[in-house]
Amino acid sequence: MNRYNYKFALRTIYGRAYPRIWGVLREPSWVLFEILLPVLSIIAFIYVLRSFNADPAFEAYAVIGGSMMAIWFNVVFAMALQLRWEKDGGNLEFYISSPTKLSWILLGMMVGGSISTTSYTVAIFSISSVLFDTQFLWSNWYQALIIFISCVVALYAIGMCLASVFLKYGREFEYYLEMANEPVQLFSGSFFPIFSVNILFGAIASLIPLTLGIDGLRQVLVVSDYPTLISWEVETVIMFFYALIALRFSKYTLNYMEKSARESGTLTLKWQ
Amino acid sequence: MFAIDAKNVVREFKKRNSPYKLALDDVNIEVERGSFYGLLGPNGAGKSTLIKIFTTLLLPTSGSVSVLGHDVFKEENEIRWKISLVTGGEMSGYGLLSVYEQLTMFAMFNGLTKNEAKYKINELLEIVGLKDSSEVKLNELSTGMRQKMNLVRGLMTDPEILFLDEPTLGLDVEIALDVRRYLKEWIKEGNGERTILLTTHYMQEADDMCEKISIIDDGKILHTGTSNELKNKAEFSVKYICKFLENIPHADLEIFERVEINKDTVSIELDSDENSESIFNSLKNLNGIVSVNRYEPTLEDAFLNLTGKKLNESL
Repeated sequence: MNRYNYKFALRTIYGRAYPRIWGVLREPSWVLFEILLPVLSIIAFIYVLRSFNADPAFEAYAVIGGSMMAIWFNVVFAMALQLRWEKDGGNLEFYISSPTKLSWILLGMMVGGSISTTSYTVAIFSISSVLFDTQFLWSNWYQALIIFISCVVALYAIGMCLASVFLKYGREFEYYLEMANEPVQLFSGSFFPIFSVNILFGAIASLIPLTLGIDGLRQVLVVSDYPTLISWEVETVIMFFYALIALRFSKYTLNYMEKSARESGTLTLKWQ
Repeated sequence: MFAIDAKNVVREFKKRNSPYKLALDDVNIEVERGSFYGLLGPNGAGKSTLIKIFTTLLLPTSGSVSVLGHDVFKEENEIRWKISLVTGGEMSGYGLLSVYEQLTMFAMFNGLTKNEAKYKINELLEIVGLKDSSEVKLNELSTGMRQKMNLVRGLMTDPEILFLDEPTLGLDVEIALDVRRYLKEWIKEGNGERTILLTTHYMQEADDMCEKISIIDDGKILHTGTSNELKNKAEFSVKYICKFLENIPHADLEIFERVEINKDTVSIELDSDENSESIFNSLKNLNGIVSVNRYEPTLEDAFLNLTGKKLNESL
């Protein structure tokens, strides 16, 4: 009998998603770190825009971009670095020595992370919209939902790939990742329409799924004349493929990481 | 078939900018099914490295290891269904989860259904005396409570082999005794199907619990045997510690080969247990004697003779 069936996979995913969803909510500081701080940065941008009498559409852009950045930070810190933290916290050796698959555990982290991050994003978006009475095309909510889900899944799938890389290559990658925050903020066009800068710049920036997600949401939720490179439907398909490729690739990186870590000892020895 | 069969196991580690470190050097171990086996040695002796190889977390550099008939190189998934690992002082888990939630998470990773997990967790929490604390968050648990929870995690899947890496490290004496008592019961209830491999640097723990013990130091197995067989490896069979009031009768002690005098205390070591009764009686009658105590060798003495150092010195 094959014990590696879908029921076992679902149990593993549920088991690991649980602490991500419920555990986090038990620490009240999440309200500050996950919601209030991102809202503060959106407030700052909107006041800058107002001081220049900018087009009100930009305010809607800032709300969408600022809310979506929360997902990036969660992918980076709660997904890509997760295996490293699990190792330092002593969990990884029990994950590995249990019969379940590490890819299922990571999938559980992804599901749990996606659900909690979505709730933060919705909260940031709602608070900011109410504070500044931002106008959106609510009739397109289902299109926005499709774009949002595609973007979240693509980002977390990339996070799953990065998780193995960071575990294998150690702590210095954390610094590179932290260094990437500002460039990602710029290239994803979180507070401005990326394709209005330069089409080539926008096309290169589209390599980050966050750019496509933010641009897609702006297309369907905000009335404006600012240019877009591709339609939101194509952007969604691209993000979907990003997710598929990243999920497939993460399986290989995980297997490679586990094999090489068992050989080198990096899996269990903290000094390695 | 042995529960664990390791042959000529070598494990090297490469640290950045430093030469290879030999953690295990030609290690051979055969652990019988249903036995309580101990690995005794100081920190850094190679105990944890060996246990990590047995639990599929690490591969040997060379040699062969079979756990319950499965090769650690190729059949790690088969092994993982049948084993559990509990380590001393482990801080695994998530501080914001309750004991019950934490254990349920690990149960899910081990293929238990929610109902199976609920039954096993409640049963084991009751046994180790943690039932009332099942809703307490991990970050509020004491070291002892946490280690009991770790033990429940290790036992809830009813493994064929339970690997215990210094399980009583840092525990109060009373809790450590509880843990040892329960482990003995657990293996007894298994009717020969449950095996425990314990690593420890506590002599008494190894002596009390293990049917067979391997002494390991500097990555090498120095000797394997029962507790009594190992004690025979000590430099003496019987030791007398005599305390004198003032003048030590040196002339009377000359008949003994190994005598150590320290102020008013004399230590006499005998190679054989023969005549020890008559020697004891004659020591009792020496002039100025206050007390005579007879000691039989401990694992500590065996360790000292095999390695040339005391276990405590090497910690």
